[in-house]
Amino acid sequence: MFRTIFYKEILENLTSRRFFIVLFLCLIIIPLGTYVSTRDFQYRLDSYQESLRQYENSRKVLEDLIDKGEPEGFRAPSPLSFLSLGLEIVMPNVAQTPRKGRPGLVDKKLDKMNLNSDQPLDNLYEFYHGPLDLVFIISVIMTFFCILFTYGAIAGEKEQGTLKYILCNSVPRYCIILAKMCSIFLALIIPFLTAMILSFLLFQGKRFALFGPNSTLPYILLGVLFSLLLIGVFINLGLLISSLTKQAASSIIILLFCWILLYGIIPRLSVVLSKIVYPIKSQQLINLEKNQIRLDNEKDVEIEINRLIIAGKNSSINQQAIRDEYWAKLESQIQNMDRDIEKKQNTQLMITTNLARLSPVSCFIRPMSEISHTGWLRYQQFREEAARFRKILNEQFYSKFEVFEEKGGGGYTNFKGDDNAPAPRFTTSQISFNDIMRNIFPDLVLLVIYNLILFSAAFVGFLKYDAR
Amino acid sequence: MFSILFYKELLEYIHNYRCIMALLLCVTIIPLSFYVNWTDYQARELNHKESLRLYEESHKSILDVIQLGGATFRPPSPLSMLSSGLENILPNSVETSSDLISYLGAQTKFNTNQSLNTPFSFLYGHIDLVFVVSIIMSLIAMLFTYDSVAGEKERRTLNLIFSNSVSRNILVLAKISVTIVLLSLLILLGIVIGLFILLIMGSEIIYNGGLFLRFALCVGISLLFIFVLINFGVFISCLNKNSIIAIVSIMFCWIIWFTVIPKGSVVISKIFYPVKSQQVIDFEKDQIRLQIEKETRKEALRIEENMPAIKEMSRSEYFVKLSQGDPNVKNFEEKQAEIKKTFRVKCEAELNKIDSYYENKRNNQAIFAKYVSRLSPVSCFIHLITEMSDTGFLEYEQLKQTKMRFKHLIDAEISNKAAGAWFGDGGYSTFRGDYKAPMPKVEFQRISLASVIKNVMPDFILLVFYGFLFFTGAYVAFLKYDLR
Amino acid sequence: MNQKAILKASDLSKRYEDGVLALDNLNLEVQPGEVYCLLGANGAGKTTTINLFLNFIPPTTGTCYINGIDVNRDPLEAKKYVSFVSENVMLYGNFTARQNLDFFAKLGGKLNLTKEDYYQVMRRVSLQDNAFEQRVKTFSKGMRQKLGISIAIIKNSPAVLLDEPTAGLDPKAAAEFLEILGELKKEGKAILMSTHDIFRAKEIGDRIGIMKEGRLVLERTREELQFEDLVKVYINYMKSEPIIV
Repeated sequence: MFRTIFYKEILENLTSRRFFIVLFLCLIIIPLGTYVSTRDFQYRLDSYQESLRQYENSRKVLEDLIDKGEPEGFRAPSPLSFLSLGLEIVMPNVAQTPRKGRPGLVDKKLDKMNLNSDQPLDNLYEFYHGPLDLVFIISVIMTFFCILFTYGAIAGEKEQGTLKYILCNSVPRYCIILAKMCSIFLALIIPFLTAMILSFLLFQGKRFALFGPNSTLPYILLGVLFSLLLIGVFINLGLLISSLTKQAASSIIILLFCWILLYGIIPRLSVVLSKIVYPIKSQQLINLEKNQIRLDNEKDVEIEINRLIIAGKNSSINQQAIRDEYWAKLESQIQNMDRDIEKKQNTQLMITTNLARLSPVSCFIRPMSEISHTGWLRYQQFREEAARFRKILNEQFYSKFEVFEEKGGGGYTNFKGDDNAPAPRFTTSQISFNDIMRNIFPDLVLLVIYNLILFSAAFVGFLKYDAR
Repeated sequence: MFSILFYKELLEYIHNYRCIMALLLCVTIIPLSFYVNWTDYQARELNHKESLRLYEESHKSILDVIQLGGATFRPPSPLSMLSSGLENILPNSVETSSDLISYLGAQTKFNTNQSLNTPFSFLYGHIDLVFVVSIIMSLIAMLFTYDSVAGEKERRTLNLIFSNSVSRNILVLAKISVTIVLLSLLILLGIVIGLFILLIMGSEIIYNGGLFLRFALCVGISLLFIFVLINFGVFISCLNKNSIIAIVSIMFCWIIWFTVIPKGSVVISKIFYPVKSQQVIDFEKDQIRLQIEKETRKEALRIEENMPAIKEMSRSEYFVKLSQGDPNVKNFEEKQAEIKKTFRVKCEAELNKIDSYYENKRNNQAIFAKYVSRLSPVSCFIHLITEMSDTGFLEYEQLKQTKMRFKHLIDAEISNKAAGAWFGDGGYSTFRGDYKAPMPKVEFQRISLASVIKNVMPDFILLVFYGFLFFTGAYVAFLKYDLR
Repeated sequence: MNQKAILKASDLSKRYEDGVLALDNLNLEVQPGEVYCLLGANGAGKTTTINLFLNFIPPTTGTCYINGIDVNRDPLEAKKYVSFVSENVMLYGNFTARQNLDFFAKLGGKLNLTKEDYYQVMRRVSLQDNAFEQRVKTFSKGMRQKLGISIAIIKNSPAVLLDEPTAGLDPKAAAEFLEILGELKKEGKAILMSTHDIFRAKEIGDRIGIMKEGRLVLERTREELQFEDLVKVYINYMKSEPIIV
């Protein structure tokens, strides 16, 4: 019985005009989006590699860091950004020292690295409309298609009069609703997966390490899983609404309103509400406050050194002791500030995430950015990499300067380290799969729960549906 | 006759639950968006003021600017609640390097680390007026109009109407005008409630004439956009006998207009006008700067070679002679200054050439994308509102101008007053101006309304054209509509 | 031809864009106080005839007149003199019966009617009092058809066109409907009704026309039908060879 109805549903769906329109649109939009995302990634990769090459050519040894330019670290672009562009362009992609001047002024250890990004200004117009990545295609276009396939699933059959014909046979109702769900799912998955596989083969084949230590396969599979779950949510939602209405026109209207709420309103509101409920200072202000602390610290160092000079105890060792003492104080102050800000930021983001989880669309969008290594985890990782680099630079380079101030304002700065020692390199690390899974697991569970709830409700709705 | 039809259409909408849902959405979402966005703006404004205060506290004189580097800030745009546009992307400040006493002049750079204040707004989007009108109201317009003609035909009331002395043009005019009036009223109701909330919050949009005028213009443009969509909806309804097919057609068109064309335009522009990333360009510039610096140094040191008297002096002797105004020392420094000036001019010319070349390319890419995207009235609408709200490209232009003005100011007040000398084994630089002079300031200026209007006129004309086109389409299609 | 005919079709033909000849040289007249029933199979041309009278489609050749006015030349003027009841009346579901009536009355030129006037008309068609202010979407088919005819009554036009008005009605509702039609006939209205219902046609019709493949193949008056079995005549015509032009 299930098979009979399933075949009829599949045939009906696959021979409908909307299926061909959906197939056509998927086969155009998904490859187009993938093509451009891939090209964009290639550009970013080229510029990253060029930056790295030029940097490594000119900063080979410690002497180069004095003569040729400050040390820098670069963030590699994510090859999975075709899945979700996320924060890829707005995240900083270079870690620089705070000194913005010419080399030769190095005399102090670093208490921070500046994380900068010039990428947004490369392509401002894109921010008007947003990227055409897979997350967009699924969360907007595919969900619309879900609505188009499901609005008339039950109410439409009733209007046509065919529901009565089916039910006048010994067909259990659960068979019908299950068959509808499976057939619609299949009818939507076929164009989607076809287009995905096509785009993958055409544009991604050469660039991807599908297997091996840096395999991207688990992430791609996770991405596909999340996509299928979101499509499932909207199919079940459509079936639910269709089983609660008598007319197909009513169900399409209600579904569109639901779509507005789930895609448009809940996620966006969650961002602003969390800012209102838990405001934090802007980056700019924090940086300025840090600068103030830095200035005050420098003034204190100056005062102490003057005291030394007046007391006649001015020697490079004594000066170094003072500098070390105040630097430790500065670093601990800055670190405390950083920890505090990070904690507050994470709290605010947690509030946003949890509020947004009221919508299954958010349970899809945010995890996809993490899976694609273009989300908040990646940004945190880059921050940690920059902090590690800072530490190494301090140990291997900045702590090797001898600075001496004389009475009357003269003085010298000498580099006591080995000029020809290799310059420290910025090291990158991979976010572990476990870390990502831990981060996205609640959303995965939530999407499954949404699917179950909506399907159960549709199920019950149809069991009680008045077929007259 | 028109009034009878108008009244009946109005009554029909009011009795429909679609109207109630639309009303609920308008009176909740619009005021809510005003409230949250204004609160957000206030927070950003506070941050901006605080940043300014901290900066001014630590940068009182030119000496401070020399030692710490200077900056100028862009205040947040109060109208960003209408369109967030580029507000969270554009740099909030222009900063100089801390090495201002450089013969190469001040290097100014945009500070770009403000984007991650609200990272998730890049994932989820903003709930500004552009979103409310272009997504929510557009879907509502779709839902109001899809069965305006096809639905009447299905109900057989169309036949009944035309069995009376009713001309077709009157009916189609009545249908279109009722929908426009009703949706406009719903939006305006939401906006009035929103304005009331802004009034309670003491928003300057209410009190500042210039801002309020822009706000009003944006509301007007939104209504024009709704006019376009309503005519389109009625047009599609007139092309179909079945209202379900009509709504499905409208939904497909919606997908094309709202997503495929705007995003596709960006995509196509990148294919036709690829541009190198800023990072690579900066590297190129750095290389050139370093090269020129090397050449300058070589030339400058040659002067020392040719003046043995200077070469043989010890540093302390040099400084003593300098303070005494020794003509040799003076001559030496003047000759070096001459060389530095020549190379500075050369350097600036080269770097400006590179900058303007890539800026041009980038502009071409953006302009091309804009042109292609105008195939969709949504893009025209977004362009209009974004520029009006000072969160668009024109704002970026103003930022670039400010950057240039700031550089010129720092050059005039600081770099041009720098002096110094290079020796074979080192050098010195000093500031010959007044260290205690107050810090130079550059205020960020927003673009005038007249300039904005001039810039967005093509989009406005296009939007009017689209409205006219779809209205004519709906009109003609209805005159030929098969009533059987 | 009788000069006093309210509804008149003169050599009326309609060929559609796909080449189908839906109506072939129709000549008919309906006098005041006369009920003319058009019988025929599906696709015979009955609805086409009505659509032509209502100017929903233009004729290929020929003319139709309402109250002496050429419908194609001056449709708005002609429609002042006709009212229409369609098959399967849906109306505006969210409006009450009175609101629907009010709207169509105003369209028909009756601008100053009161609530009581509407109630009177609805009572006349035997619509229950408690239905007057009820939404039409809660009505049964019979009630909706009654409301449909009340719309025609309230316009008080000299001609009434009905397109299969008793389709799907139960015998009682159909009988009630025809009773009202009888009253309208007594008031002197010219009524043209297309129908499948041979029995009702025989009951109410003063003249009956049988259409086949766009042609009026037979016309009988009530008196002539006393001596003939209409059912047999009708079925014979339906079964006979197709008309080849």
